[in-house]
Amino acid sequence: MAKTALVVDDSATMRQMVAFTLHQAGFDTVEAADGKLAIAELAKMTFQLVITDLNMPVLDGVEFIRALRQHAAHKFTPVLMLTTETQSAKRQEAKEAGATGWLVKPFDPEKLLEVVAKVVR
Amino acid sequence: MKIDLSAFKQSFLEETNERIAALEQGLLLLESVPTDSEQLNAIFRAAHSIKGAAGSLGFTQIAEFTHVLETLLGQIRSGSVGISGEHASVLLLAVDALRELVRTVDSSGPMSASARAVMDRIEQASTSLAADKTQSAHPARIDRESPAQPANARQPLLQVGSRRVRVTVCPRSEFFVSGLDPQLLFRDLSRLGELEGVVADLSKVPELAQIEPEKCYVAFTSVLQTSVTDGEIRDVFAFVEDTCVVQVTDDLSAPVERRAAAAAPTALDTTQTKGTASTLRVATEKVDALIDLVGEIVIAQSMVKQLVQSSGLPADSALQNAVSALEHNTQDLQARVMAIRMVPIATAFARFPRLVRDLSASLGKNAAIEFEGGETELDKGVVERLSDPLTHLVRNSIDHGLEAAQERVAQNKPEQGKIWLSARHEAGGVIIEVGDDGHGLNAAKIRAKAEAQGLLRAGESVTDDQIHALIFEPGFSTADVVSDVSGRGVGMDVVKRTIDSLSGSISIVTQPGKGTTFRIKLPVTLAILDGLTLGVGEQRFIVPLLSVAESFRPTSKEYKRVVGQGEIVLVRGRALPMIRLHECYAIPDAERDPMRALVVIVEADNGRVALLVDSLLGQSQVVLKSLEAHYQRIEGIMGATILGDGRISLILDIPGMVRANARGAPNLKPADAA
Repeated sequence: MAKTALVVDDSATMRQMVAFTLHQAGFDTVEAADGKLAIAELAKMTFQLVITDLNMPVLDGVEFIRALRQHAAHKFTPVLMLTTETQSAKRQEAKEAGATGWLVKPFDPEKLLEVVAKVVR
Repeated sequence: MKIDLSAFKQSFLEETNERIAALEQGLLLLESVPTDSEQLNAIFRAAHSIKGAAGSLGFTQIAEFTHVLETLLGQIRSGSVGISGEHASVLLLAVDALRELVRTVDSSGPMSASARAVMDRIEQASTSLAADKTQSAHPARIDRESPAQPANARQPLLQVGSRRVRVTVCPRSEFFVSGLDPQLLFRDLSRLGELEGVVADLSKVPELAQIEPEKCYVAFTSVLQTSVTDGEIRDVFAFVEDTCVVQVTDDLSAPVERRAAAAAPTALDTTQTKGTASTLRVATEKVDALIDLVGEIVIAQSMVKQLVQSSGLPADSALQNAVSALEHNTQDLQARVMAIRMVPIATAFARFPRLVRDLSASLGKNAAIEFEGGETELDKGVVERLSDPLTHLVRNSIDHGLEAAQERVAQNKPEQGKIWLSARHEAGGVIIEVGDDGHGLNAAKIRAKAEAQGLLRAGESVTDDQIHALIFEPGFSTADVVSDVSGRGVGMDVVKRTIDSLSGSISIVTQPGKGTTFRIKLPVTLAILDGLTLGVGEQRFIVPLLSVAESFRPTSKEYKRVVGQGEIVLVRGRALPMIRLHECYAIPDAERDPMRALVVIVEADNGRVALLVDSLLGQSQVVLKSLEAHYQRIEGIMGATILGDGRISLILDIPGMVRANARGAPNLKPADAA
C-alpha cells in the first residue's frame, strides 16, 4: 500500500511543490490550506507522514501539531515542519507540541526526501 | 535525483500577485488602525509566504527583497506601536517594487536600481527600529537569529581518522509522541560505519503499574567504528536534539554534550482570518470551454424538447418525462457551471483604498472610501472589465465631486469627504453605485458647456436629468483646469461605452450640495441571458428581460403620429418614441398597424422607448454567442443565439439600437447575419 502524506501550507505553490517532490518518492499526498482543514483530513484517513508550514491563517502549525498528537491514529506519525530561519522560537514551540523535525525554507526537494527517509519507516 | 520545480512558476506568480494585493490592502487598513494585530499578522504572513516560495523556485531577487521586508514587518509586529505613517509609505513603495520584481521575474541581471533603492529604505527603517529597541528598556519578544547563518554551522567540524566512537542516546519521555523511532536513528548511524550492536539501558523503566505506554523510558548505547567527524555523527541526531540527549564520546573521554532548549516565550500567532476556503485553481480557458459546451447542450436539449412536444406524444409519456428531467438537470448544470466564473466584486474594489489615498494626497483633498456589498458575485469577465470604469468614476468623484477641505468646513460638512462603492443584487441584475458627498452636479455649468460645444441648442428645453446625461457625451468635460487626474479627454463617455458593452446601463442621482451617485445596472453574467423572444414577420429577436418594462396593444388613443417627431405611444400620459423593428431591420410581412400589433416598452439610455413587434413568443434563458467572434460588431446587436427550433435569433442591445436608430444609421439586414 502506498504511503500517504498530508501537506499543510497556506501557499498553494508550496503545497504543490512539496506534493510533487513526495510523489517522486512514491507517496500519495493530500493537501490542506490551514491547520483547521488539516485536522479535518486527519479524521478521514491515517497518514504516514505530515509536512506542515508553521505560519498559517485560521489555525497555525503549532496548534495543528498539538491537535494532531491528540488524535489516536496520528500519535506517533512523523511530522516535519517547513520553517524559515527567522522562526526559531516558534520552531521550538512546535517541537514541544510534538513535531518530529524541521526543514528550513527555501524548500529544497532533495533535502526533503533525505529527511523523509530519516523519519519514515 | 534532481527534482525540477520550474513547472510551479505560473502558480507562484499568480499566488504572489494575490499576496501582494493582500499586503497592500492590509497596509491600507492598518493606516486607520495601526495596531490591528490581525492585520499585522496577515501582512507579515503575506511577505513570509512570498519569500518562502520565491526562494524555493530560485527567484532570488524576490526572495532577497521579501526577506528584508519580512524582517521589518516582524519588527513592527513584535513592537507595540504598530505601523507608523512613515513605515506605511515605505511599505507601500515596497508593494510597488515587489509588483515590478514579479513582472520582470524573467529578466536576468541584478535587481533594478529602483527596487534596490526601496530595499535600502526598508533596511534603514529596520535598522533604526532595531536601534530604538535597544535603547528602550523593553526586552525583545522575538528570538531573532542571524539570517545569514546556515542551519548546521553551529558545530565546528573536527576531522579524525578511523576510530571507535561511543554513542549514547537518552530519549526524553515524549520521544515517541514526537513521531520518532530510535530504530531509524541507528539505521542512519549504521550508514556511517560499522555499528557494534545496540545496548538498551532499562534502568529508568518504572514498575509495570506506573508505566505509561506512550512514554519512552529506555536509553541506548552503541559503539561505532567510523572515520567520519563528530559533526557528521551529530547530524544524524540533528532532528532529535531537543527530544533526547545524545552523547558522542571518543574512548569514553569527551565531555557530555547537552543542549538546553532555549525556549524563549513568544506571542502565539493564532489569529483567525476569515474567508479561507479550499480552492482549486483552473485556467480560465478551461472554464470557458466548459461553459461553451454546456451552452451547446442547453441548445440541443431545447431542440429535443421542441421535437418531442411536436411529436404528438401524450404529455405524461415516458419520453416526455425523460425530456423534462433532462431539461431540469441541464438548467441546473448550466447554473452550476456559470457559478464557477462568479467572483465577488470585492476583487474589483480592492485597489481603491490605495487609489483614494494617493489621489486625494495629490489633489490636496481629504477623502475616505467606504465599501458595501463586496461579497456580491458577478461574472469574472464583468468584474474585470468594470475595473477601469469604476476607477474613472472614483477619480472623478474625488476630483470633481468632493470640495476642498476648507470649503467643506465652510459648508458645515465634515472635513473629510466620503466616497462609497456599493454593490447589491436587484431584479435579476446587479446594481453598483459610486457615490460622493460633494457638491453635486452643477446643471447650469453643464448646460453652458454643452451649448458652447454645440451639444445643446441655446435655450432648448430639457430636463435636469437630460442635462446630467450630457456628461456622458464624447469630449465633454467641465473641469476648468485640466488636472493631472481628470479632464484628459478619456472621460465619462468611455465609462458609458464600457458599461453599454457589458449590457448594462448607468444613471446619475445628484443633489446640489449633497453629492452625486452614479448607479450602474449590470447583468450578472454575459454568457447567458434571460430574454424575451419577439416575433417580427418571420424573424425572431430577443431582448434582455432586464430592460423590458411592459407590453401591450395600443388603442387608437394611445398611438400618435407627431409631425417632425415621428410616432409616439402614450403610456399613462407619458409619450414614448416608437421604433418599428420591421423598419429597422427591413423585414417584410410584418404587421404595420400598431393597433393590430404589440408594443414592448423597454429601457433605453434617456428613458423608455416602445418597440413595435408582431408577437411575444415567451421568455427563456438563452446562451449568448458573440457576433464579433464570428462576424463583426454591429451597433444595436448584442449577439446571437440558437433557438429551440434551430433558428438563429439576434439579441438586441436596446440602448445601442436606439442610438443607431436616432442617427438614422442603416441597421443591418437580417440576411447579413443569418
